Amino acid sequence: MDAVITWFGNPMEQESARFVKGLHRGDPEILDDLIEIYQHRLLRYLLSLTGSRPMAEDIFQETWLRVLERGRQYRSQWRFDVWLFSIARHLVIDEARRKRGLSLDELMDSEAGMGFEPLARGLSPFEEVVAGQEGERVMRVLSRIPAVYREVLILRFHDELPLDDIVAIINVPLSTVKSRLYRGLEAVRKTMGPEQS
Amino acid sequence: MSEADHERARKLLAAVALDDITVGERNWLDRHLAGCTECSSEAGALSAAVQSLRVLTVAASPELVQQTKLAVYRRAQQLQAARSRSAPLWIATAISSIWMILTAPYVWRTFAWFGQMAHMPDAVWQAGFLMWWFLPATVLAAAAASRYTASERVSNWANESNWGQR
Repeated sequence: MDAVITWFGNPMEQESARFVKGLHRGDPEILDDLIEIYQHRLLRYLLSLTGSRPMAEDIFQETWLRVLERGRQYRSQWRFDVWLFSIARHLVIDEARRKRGLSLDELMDSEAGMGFEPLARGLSPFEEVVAGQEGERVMRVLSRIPAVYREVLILRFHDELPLDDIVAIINVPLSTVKSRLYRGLEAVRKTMGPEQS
Repeated sequence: MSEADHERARKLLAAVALDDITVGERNWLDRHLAGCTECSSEAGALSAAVQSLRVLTVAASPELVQQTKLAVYRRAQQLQAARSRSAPLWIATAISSIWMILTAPYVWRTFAWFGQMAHMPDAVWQAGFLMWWFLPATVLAAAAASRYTASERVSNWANESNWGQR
C-alpha cells in the first residue's frame, strides 16, 4: 500500500488528524463527516463496478460499516479515499462470489459485458441516476463497455486519481491499469460513434 | 495515408488522453490530424468523451446517506457494548498474570517444601506448580476470547442482515 501514502496536504493536517483519531476510536460522528465528504464518489465508484444501483447502494452502506469496524487499522499516512475504495472493491468481490460464485475478474471479463445486470433495452439503473442529457449519454456509453474498463476510466478521469493510486485500489500491475485505460478509451470511442450518429 | 497510419493515430489519441505520449509522437500525431478529417473528428469525439467523464454527475440519495448513518450509529453502539462487556475479563486476566509472576518464587518454594514433605517425585510437584501458575490466566483469557468471538459473530450476523435492508 505504498501508493496509499499521504492523505491530505498540510492545510488539512488538523482535520486529517481528527479523522484518524475518530476512526481509531470508532467514533460515528467522524464517520458522519466522512460519509458527507465521500458519499458521491463512493457511490459512483460502486456503480462503475456493479452497474446496478441497488447493489451499489447495499455495498455503499456495508462499506461504511467496514470502515467503522476496521478504523483501527487505518494509518494516517494512507490516502483515505484509496483505502475506502479498496474496502468497497473487496466487498463487491465478496458479494460477486456469494451471489454467483464468480471472481470479480470473471464478473468483469470483457466477454461478460455489464457486470451484475444484463444490458437493459432502455436506460439502465446506472444511467437513471445521472442528471442531465449529456450525463445520460455518457452513462449510456459507459454502460455498454465492460466494467473492468469502466472502473479505471471513472477513477482516472472523474476522480482524477494518479495511476499509482489506481494500482493500489485495484491491486494489479501499473501496466495492466494502463492497458485497461487504453482499451477503455478505445471502447468509449467505438461506442460513441454509433451514439453520435 | 495508410490504414496503419490511422491505427497509429487512434492509439496515440488515447495516449494523449492519458498524458502518455512523447514529443516526437505528438508531433507526428499533429501532422496526421492536420491532414486527416476522419482521425481529427475522432480526436474531437474522444476529447469530448473524456471531458464528459470529468463532469459526470452521480449523486447518493439523502435517504441512502441517512440510512447509512443510522446503520453506522447502531453498529458503533454494538461494538461499544461488546468492548464494555469484555473489558473486565481482560483486566482480570492482566491482574491475575501480574499477581502470578510476582508470587511465583514463593509458591515455587511452597510447592517444593510440600513435595519433600509428601515424598513426591519432583516431576509431580513441579507439574502441580505449573498448573497453578498457568490455570487462572488461561481460564480468564479463554473466557475473554470466547466472549470476543461471540460478539464478532453478532457483528457478522448484523453484517449479513444489512445486505437486504432496502
